[in-house]
Amino acid sequence: MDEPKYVPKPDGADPIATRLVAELKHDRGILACKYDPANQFLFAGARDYFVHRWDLRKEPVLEPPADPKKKPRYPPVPAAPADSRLEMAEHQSWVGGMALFSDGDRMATGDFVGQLIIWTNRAGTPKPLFSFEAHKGSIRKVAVSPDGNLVASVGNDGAVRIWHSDAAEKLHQELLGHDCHVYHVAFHPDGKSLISADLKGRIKHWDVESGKLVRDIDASLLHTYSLKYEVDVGGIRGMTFNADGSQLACAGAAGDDKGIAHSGDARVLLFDWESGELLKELRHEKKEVCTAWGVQFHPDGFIIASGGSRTGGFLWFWKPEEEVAFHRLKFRQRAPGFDVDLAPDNKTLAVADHDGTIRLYEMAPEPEQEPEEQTGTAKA
Amino acid sequence: MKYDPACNSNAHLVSRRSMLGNMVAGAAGVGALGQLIHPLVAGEIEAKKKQVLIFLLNGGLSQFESFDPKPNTDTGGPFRSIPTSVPGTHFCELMPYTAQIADKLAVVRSMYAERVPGSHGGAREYVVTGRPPQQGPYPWIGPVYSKLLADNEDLPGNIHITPSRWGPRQDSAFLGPRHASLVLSGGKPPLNVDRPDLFNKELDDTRYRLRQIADQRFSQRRRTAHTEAYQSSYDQAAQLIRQKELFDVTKESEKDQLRYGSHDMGRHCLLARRLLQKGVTCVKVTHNNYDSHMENFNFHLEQLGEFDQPFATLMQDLEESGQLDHTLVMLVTEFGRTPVIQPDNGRDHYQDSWSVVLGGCGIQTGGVLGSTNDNGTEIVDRPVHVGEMFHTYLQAVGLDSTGTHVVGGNNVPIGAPERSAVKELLI
Amino acid sequence: MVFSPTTRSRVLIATAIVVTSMLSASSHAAEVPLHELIDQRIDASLAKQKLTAAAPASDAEFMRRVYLDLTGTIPDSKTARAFIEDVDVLKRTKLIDQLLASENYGTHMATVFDVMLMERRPDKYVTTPEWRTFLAESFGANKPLNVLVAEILGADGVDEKLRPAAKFYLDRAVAKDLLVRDIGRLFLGVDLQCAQCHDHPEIDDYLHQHYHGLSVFIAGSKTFKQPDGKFVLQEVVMREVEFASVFEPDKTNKTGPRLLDALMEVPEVKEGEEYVEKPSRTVRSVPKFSLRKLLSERLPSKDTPEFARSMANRLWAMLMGRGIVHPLDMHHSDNPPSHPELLNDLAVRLSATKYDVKAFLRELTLSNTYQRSSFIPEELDPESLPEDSFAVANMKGLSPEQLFDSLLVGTHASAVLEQQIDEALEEESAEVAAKAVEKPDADKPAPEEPDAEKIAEARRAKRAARVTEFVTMFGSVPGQPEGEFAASLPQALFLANSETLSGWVPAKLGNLTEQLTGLDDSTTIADELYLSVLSRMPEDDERTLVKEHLEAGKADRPKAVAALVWSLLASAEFRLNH
Repeated sequence: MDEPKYVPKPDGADPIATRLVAELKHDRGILACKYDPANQFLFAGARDYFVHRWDLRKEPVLEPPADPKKKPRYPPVPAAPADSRLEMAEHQSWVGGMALFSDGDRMATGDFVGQLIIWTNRAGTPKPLFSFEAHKGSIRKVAVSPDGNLVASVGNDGAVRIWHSDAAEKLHQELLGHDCHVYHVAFHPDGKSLISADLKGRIKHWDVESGKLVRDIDASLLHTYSLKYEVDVGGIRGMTFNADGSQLACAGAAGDDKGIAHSGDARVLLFDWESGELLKELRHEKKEVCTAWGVQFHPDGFIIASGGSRTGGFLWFWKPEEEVAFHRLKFRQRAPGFDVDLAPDNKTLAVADHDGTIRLYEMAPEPEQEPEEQTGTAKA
Repeated sequence: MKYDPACNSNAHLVSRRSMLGNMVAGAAGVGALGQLIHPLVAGEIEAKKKQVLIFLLNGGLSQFESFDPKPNTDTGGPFRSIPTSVPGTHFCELMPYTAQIADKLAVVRSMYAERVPGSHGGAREYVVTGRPPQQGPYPWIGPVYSKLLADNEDLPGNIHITPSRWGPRQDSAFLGPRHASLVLSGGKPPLNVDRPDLFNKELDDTRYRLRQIADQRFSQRRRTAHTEAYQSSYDQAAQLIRQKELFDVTKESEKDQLRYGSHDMGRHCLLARRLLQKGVTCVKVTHNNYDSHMENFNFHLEQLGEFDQPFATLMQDLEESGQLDHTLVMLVTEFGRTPVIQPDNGRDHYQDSWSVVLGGCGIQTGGVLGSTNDNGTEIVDRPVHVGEMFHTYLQAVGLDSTGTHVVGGNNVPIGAPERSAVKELLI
Repeated sequence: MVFSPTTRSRVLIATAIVVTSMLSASSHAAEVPLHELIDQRIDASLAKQKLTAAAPASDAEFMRRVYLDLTGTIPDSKTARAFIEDVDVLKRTKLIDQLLASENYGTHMATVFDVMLMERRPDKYVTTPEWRTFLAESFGANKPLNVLVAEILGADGVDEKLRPAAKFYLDRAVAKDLLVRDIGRLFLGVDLQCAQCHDHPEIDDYLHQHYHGLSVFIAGSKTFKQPDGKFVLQEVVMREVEFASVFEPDKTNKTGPRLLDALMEVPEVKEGEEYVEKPSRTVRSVPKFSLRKLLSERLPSKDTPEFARSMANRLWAMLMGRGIVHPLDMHHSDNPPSHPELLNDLAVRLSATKYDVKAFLRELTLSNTYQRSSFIPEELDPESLPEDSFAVANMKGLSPEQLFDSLLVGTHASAVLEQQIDEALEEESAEVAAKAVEKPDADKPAPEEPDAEKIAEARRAKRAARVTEFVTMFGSVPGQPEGEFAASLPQALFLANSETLSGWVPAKLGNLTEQLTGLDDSTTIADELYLSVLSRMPEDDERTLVKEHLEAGKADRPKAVAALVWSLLASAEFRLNH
């Protein structure tokens, strides 16, 4: 007998059993999604000028398949139609950066023309507290410090900026060091360090208080220069710390240029924070031309990433000690999941999909159904 | 139709012949092939002659991220549109410098072509020959200009500045190698322009002299068409080798080198200016690569970020020097890109509508011709076919595009006979 | 100018031709030999135009021409000298026969027909070496031309032996419009391209229905990928096509298969019984009645007189530098043949001899018309002499392959080329080795020691790459027939400065420059130089020039010789087949 690939913890998540449970419909590709810590709302940025908010309590779950042996219908039919979506209008371009404060009230969003907005009353009728041009050109990502006092933003202008969240003023003049588009930013859980990551796969570690550069971490495996297309390809698309801040995961793609300026197959690089050492190059056993876009650590100790390409979209699951994913879920739609967020219940995943839908997946087996009573239809 | 006699008149032809004749007559003592045309005479010819500057944005420029922005629509992409120097006309924010010179341009937002075999290559051929590739090969427009505007010149009539990985391509079809693009790969001088180590300067002259003596002897009482063409190719070669600095962009002022930028596109635009100033008839600059099936927005940010400023700078310089009056500028690409944003943030090939830009000689500038609907999925006004544009490119410099090339005694229409020029674009 | 050393033999040759003509005339009393017929027709036309024919070519001129035309390269200096000095009155006829029987004849004709039929398109499914081998064997064995063309037009790529013949279709990706155009141009001598969308705008004879009638033969054919990965042809049933002029898009017409004006019958087949193999995704579809087969039977046959005319015209042009109908694919009433009766004779003889190419070329090369000098007689004005008079030999540019091979023969540089190839291979393997050290790939097994066959293959590829360099520089655009001679700046730069040629010229490994440098007497040097490069003896003034140049350059003799060698290689006399 083969050993099971993953044994769920008691009462823990069961990634191998991951299944689609709900679809939040929109008509534009979704770029980012975030759960509200109270598990009531889901926020998203899309290829339009709004921040979107769904009320999860009002969203129906999908009808369970009538015959569990049959393939579920696609598209799945919700039990009841509902649209709890609220459009928060203020941005002048797509919203790709999004971070929630733990105070239950505020959130920060950034758009593709450099506007950064700090919203208040996110659970009620949200309105902007501050709205200002934080970058010249696109903001790629924003992050909020654990204590909620600071907001960090990065963008195509190569700048990394830290703002006082209560005054929309810069904490430091400028954090200089990147020479290309900066794609991602994250605070360390201790709140003292900030990391920013760019197109060329370079990670910069900044001291928050002094604004000084502490060190560089090399994730350039996730970058290629395409000779044919004369353009840099790849970059760090997803980036996150684990809960205690001992490990850092960076998502993207690695390998040779595959022709139409694609940098290779999906990768998550796992770093030891203390030493900056690359611990593992997480991949799938099958090479596929696609990119890992979003990455999350699960408290049960495994790592989740979402991604794909036009040929297929995926969720991958790794144990940190094994390079090859122990499970992969292939989406029914042929499109990448651009972002993945873990619900506060630690059982549900929200995936931001290119096709304009947020899909919720539960990492648990189908609840056992009451066995139906045998009726007297059996052949005599 | 206007036809400027200064650039290709019979008189010029005769005088070119007589110069060649003089030279051959005194061939034994020729040591100064480089001064085939006296610089002053050359200057006079150049002052009046029509020139052409072609930009080929290779791979397929997105009309949405350049000249036909559709912000805040399902197809529009994340970028804003910005006002230009033409009131009411907006470009994408990725082209701020070009927006400032919009008054020197005519934008066609309603280009279309049928789908043709051969993907990029086929579509590109359609754009630069005015004929679908399956009917070809027809000569590209550069060789056509070389043939019709520069047939008797000693400078190559058609120079192509390409990205570094491009080699020479045979683009002259039945017009023959005389008119094929002279390729400056990566903006470097042409291949084989340096003499081999074996021959020092003196012996190099000697070998050319011995070669010429042999030819002279052979061509007496033989048909001269072949031998003259052959001799002239060596004259051109000898002249070019002596004028290598024509290709040396570092001979331009430091200030200009700074203005144009140190990246390839900047250097190539400055080189194009230099070649036009020195009298080359047709200069083409290819910029790579706009084939954004993935990451369309990042691609265009990067590529247009490189293209926008040197292009606008070059347009301004040409205007200030007065060259724009007799220089046609074309900015073409093989096709546009899909309104639909593809799963990898890309846009695919789109031949139903895209944008092309003209400027300079013979063009009504400061306007937009044609339009697409709100989200750019289809043309709603004045569709312009690539075959019509081919006629327009030629008529803008006073050439009769409805005439014929004579190929081995056979007449081949210059532009597709079922198409005609876009009169709205011509002065 | 007088070619003094050869005057005598020229007279003798004239007699020899008369003798051979009489012999063949007596054995075929009813029929005048074709070479005589050619001369009668051309002479009559010259008389009518009051034009004087050029003098017969000297032995050297004839020899260089016939070598290039029948074997694709110039003779080496030893052969050249031997021929010039040979006193046999039948030596020209003997040389023609010898060259037609040589292996080089087959390979040269393969190159000529490859370039003619494929027009330097990049390989797709059948490689050029396979295809050229097939052609070389066909021409070497003197396969009748109609049989060869039937094999090409009937090929489906399935039969291994005839698979190379399918290159014509397969490497055009069985693209209908392209094939219609090329079948018309190459086998019928008509370029119907402009009749694709409407009746030809300028040529009254070319009709819209000609284009579409020809297209019916091909419209049902497309590629099929066999389970073994090989691409072959398949065919679906087709009887007719509909077409409409772009000028009158609402008026549709129909045509069945036609070869120009000859409409073909297609047998009625019961519905449901049309196929041997029905179309499906997994099986190659084969109809019971194949239109492609019909095409292969009817086009290269007496039913289609355009075929013999077009082929006779093409072979004529190959030797005479110009078609009787010119351009070769423009047979129509507004472009009449320069010598209509002659073209007729040629076509009739070609088909009467069952398309015997060797016999046909032999007759052409035996003619006085072919054996004329390119030197224009005093009585004629070079500027006004019509090219289609054939009063003077037309000069032809060397093809890229002829140029490559002739440069190699002329410079005696085979050993140098071998060395260049060795160096390139060594450099490559050094690079591979360096990479392996730099970035060891654990998954990859260590490279095996290459065996002799692999090395030979690599050498062939490297040599082919050098030829390709010439083809790119001097050849026509892919998909375009080889045009008339033209010279360009990049070509001149290439001949003057390229690494390939400037590697062959300097004294090295027993090449011409080294051989000449080792000789003392300037006359001997001049003779060997001119024989090697230009396949003739130098004139006195040329000997003097060599002498003076060598004296002036005696400080560095090898370089002075190299300059001389280059100057002749780069001369028009070398570049042209005159």
